[in-house]
Amino acid sequence: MNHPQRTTHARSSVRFGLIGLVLLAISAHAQSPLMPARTMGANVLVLPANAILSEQVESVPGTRMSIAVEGDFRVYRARHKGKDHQVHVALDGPARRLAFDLKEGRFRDVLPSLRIEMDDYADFDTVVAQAGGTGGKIYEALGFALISLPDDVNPAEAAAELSASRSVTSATIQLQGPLYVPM
Amino acid sequence: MCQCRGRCEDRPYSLKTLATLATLTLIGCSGGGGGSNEQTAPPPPPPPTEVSLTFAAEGTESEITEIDEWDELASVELTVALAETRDTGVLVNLNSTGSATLGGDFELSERQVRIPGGSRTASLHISPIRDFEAEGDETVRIALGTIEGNAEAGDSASVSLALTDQGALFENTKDNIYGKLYVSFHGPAIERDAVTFSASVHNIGSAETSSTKLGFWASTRNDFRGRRLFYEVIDLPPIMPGGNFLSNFRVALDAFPGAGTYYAIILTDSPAEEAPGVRRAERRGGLVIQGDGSVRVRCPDLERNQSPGIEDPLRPAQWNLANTGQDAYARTGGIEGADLRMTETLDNGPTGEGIRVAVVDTGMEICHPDLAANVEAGTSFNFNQGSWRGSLETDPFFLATFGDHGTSVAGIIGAVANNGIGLRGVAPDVRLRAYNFLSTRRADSASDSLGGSSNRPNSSDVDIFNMSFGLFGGEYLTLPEDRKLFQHGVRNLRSGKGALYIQAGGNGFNRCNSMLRRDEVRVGETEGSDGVTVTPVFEDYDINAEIGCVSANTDPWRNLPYIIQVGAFRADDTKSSYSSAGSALWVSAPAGQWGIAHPGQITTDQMGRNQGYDANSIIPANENPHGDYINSFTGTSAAAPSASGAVALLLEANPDFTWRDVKYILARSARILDADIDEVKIGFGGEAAVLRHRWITNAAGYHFHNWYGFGAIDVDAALALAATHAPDSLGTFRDGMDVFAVREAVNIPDHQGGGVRQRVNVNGLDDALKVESVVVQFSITHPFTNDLGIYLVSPSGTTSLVNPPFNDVLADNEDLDWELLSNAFYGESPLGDWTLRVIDAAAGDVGTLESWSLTFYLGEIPAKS
Repeated sequence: MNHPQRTTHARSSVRFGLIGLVLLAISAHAQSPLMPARTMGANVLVLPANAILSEQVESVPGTRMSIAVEGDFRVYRARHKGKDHQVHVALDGPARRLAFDLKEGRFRDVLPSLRIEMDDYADFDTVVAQAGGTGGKIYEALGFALISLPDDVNPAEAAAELSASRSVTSATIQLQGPLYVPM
Repeated sequence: MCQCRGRCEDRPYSLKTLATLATLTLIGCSGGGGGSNEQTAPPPPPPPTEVSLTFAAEGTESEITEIDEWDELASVELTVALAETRDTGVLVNLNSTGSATLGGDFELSERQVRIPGGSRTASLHISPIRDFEAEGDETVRIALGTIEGNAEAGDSASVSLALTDQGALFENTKDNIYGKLYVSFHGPAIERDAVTFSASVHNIGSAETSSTKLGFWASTRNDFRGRRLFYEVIDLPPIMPGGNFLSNFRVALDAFPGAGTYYAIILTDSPAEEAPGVRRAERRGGLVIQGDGSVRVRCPDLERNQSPGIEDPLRPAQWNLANTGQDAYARTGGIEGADLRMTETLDNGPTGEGIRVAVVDTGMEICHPDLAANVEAGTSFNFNQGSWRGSLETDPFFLATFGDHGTSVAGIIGAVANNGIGLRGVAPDVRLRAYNFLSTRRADSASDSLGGSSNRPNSSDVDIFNMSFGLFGGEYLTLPEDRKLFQHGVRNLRSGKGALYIQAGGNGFNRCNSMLRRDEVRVGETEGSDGVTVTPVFEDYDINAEIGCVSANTDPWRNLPYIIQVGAFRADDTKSSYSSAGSALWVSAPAGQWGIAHPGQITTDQMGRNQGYDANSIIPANENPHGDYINSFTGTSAAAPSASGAVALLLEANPDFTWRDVKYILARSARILDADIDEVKIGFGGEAAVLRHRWITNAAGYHFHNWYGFGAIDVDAALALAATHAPDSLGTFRDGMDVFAVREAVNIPDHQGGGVRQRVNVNGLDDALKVESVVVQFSITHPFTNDLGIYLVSPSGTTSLVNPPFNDVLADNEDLDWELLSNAFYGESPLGDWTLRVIDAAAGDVGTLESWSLTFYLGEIPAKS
């Protein structure tokens, strides 16, 4: 019997994770690696993809986070409004970047893209490059554009950088929406 | 002799009565015989007659009879009778006493009975109201009260009944909160030498799951018997409600033993003792390996012989077009007329010619022999082109081998007619395209698929978007981005007349995960084995079987007025078992059941024997030689495309119709089905609440029911109305501009059917404006919102249940900031007092209605005469 081969690229994330552990030996008192963002009607904290938070970090009052590697999983935990939340991400599974939704009290996936609005999209290609994007598309009729990002770019950081740009009216991260299924 | 005034009747007067009458006659009679000058007096009134109150049923031997609170048929008829008739009628008031509460434990059909002049009797009914409480048996005594008219209470002036208590319906709804897993294939990614299947496991339940395994394997057989090509099982980590887990399974292509069709499966399983309530979930997929060793990623060019001009062989079985009672290959047939009512249209009506319909779905076989001639070349879009080596951007092929939902949806809308193969669509001359929106999770897929994009793909030239999909539901709010997308579609597409968005209304009626449930309810009795002993009969029972589990409103897009929500009905003209109920529904369309015991939908399937859904289909091989068709497509997914086809016919009939014209025509021409559906009334804490209404007729004359919207689509009637309806004649659409809010917090009484009511006065609007839809937004703090039922009542008195108690998606949900749409008030004036009523149906959790508001969508909607 053959066994399917688990993805090698995901295995590399284990190594990155260990490196992250070394580089980001973060304590609760250090500057928080959790980036607050507002998008799609939600206030979220965007978590680092490959770091480990060995102690619970209180990034906003009343919400504490930790990230640990346990067995085959990276485990994200949050204590928020008196309740515990956790999500397990397979170390050899698809790349995922998570955010914690402070209103809904749950972890959500952050998509590798940005939604931006500009007064004039003539400079759109420049903005894509500035964000480190791999491409983009302008939805003129809807008044926004999307920028595709590679997995190694933190959308929250890219959004923060673009928000400071004069040509960009707004730049927001994109959260994975609920699962639409055939009825 | 005196002449009688009025009627002279032989009456069995008593001697005393007759003597009195004679005396009065002597004094008061005038005219007639005798010719005297005596002054006439009115005839003396007869003495009071006796009034009795008795059980109507013959053979009721005892004064006391019993009715079972859970027996809906237990209504007892009472008779109020006069010993003698009276000319002027008698009015009898009734009083009730006893431990049972009127309105909470039982109800009387009348509390005041009028016996007309000349009649002797009138009847009324006493009926039990079910409740969820263990109260013990209760008694009620109904007695004659004040009597108006020439009558008085006789000896039989009261009856007594015992209400047999069936105990608590449930111990605690919280005992039934479980995790529930949904699995799907996510991808796969296709490379030169390998394919990576991504398994996605979602917890759509209400509690964290644990002790669950995820298995993956492939087989050459679609029943997965025999040798497993690959096999891997992993222990799933705990998954929280709303959370998901992703895992990749990468398989080298040379591990497949040659060209052929392969089937893959992912499933979860949990030991019952370790994970109670967590049920098994599975998803089937697969792929085809071609002769060159590559994965099939494009629609294959398969040989099929067509015979132009020859009737489609499956057409006679298509009950959605013309239901003659045919069985559609199921064990039982339907009933005549339970269909789209398009007999005249089939003979000589429009066919949807030139109307562009986008199937926004899993994919579509653009080369399917019954679709290809209607597919508009180069307009479809494949969002997976970047990750499927060898695929085409304009070919949204669905490479998995267990059925392409989009291909089956497309056939119902627009399968080619009279080509000698398969079936015909509702609109067999539409121009089809597909976007495989459900096969990707890209951020741009919604805007691209639903009219927001003018290049790669161009969805801005679409007339109708068929959306046979939805969410599992939850406390979601519509995102501003989504609202903007649909507003763009209805404002700008079709040269400003607006595209039509048509969505499946949801399959959640039976999806009871953590529902209110009681396993044994006494439903009757039977003779014991000795022929004498009476043995109680118990059956599983849950109230959700009557009111539904997941409301249609629990998907944010279903609370937008821009999308037509479609419910499903069966071939016997009743609701399909799964079809979600909710005030957001607009119309219903045929979909049926599963095609085995009762007819499902006949439609196109992935081409090829043992590919697609045809393993579940029972169309005889001689009528389906290649396995390209099925008879078992179902769900509101199957209802939406019938509606899309019907709308295509309307748009061909008059291309100038706006999206609101179409909604109006559908609503006004819809037919009532299941006309006798009864209300479901339950007592909570001594007060009753209606959890399912009968059909209502609102103040503008439109019929509405949460199970069916305005009713079943009637194509012939809609086209007849379309012939006289002037396009764009419904006034300017006021798109959510009128908002009226209440910000005074009030407590919601715990466990009380009456609930709390608050009113808001709507004023300052033009008299000509009528309601098209209304959305109620509310903020509620409550530790267990599954208990809450929410009603909206218009100034005209129309009541709409916008959220039923025990809505499964709110199990273990705390607090609500939500918005729910109702169409029940269509055509009514918005002016006046609107009432929001919130009830808490279960004890133990207390909350507050913090604030609420109404957002109106208005136009000049004609009343329905």
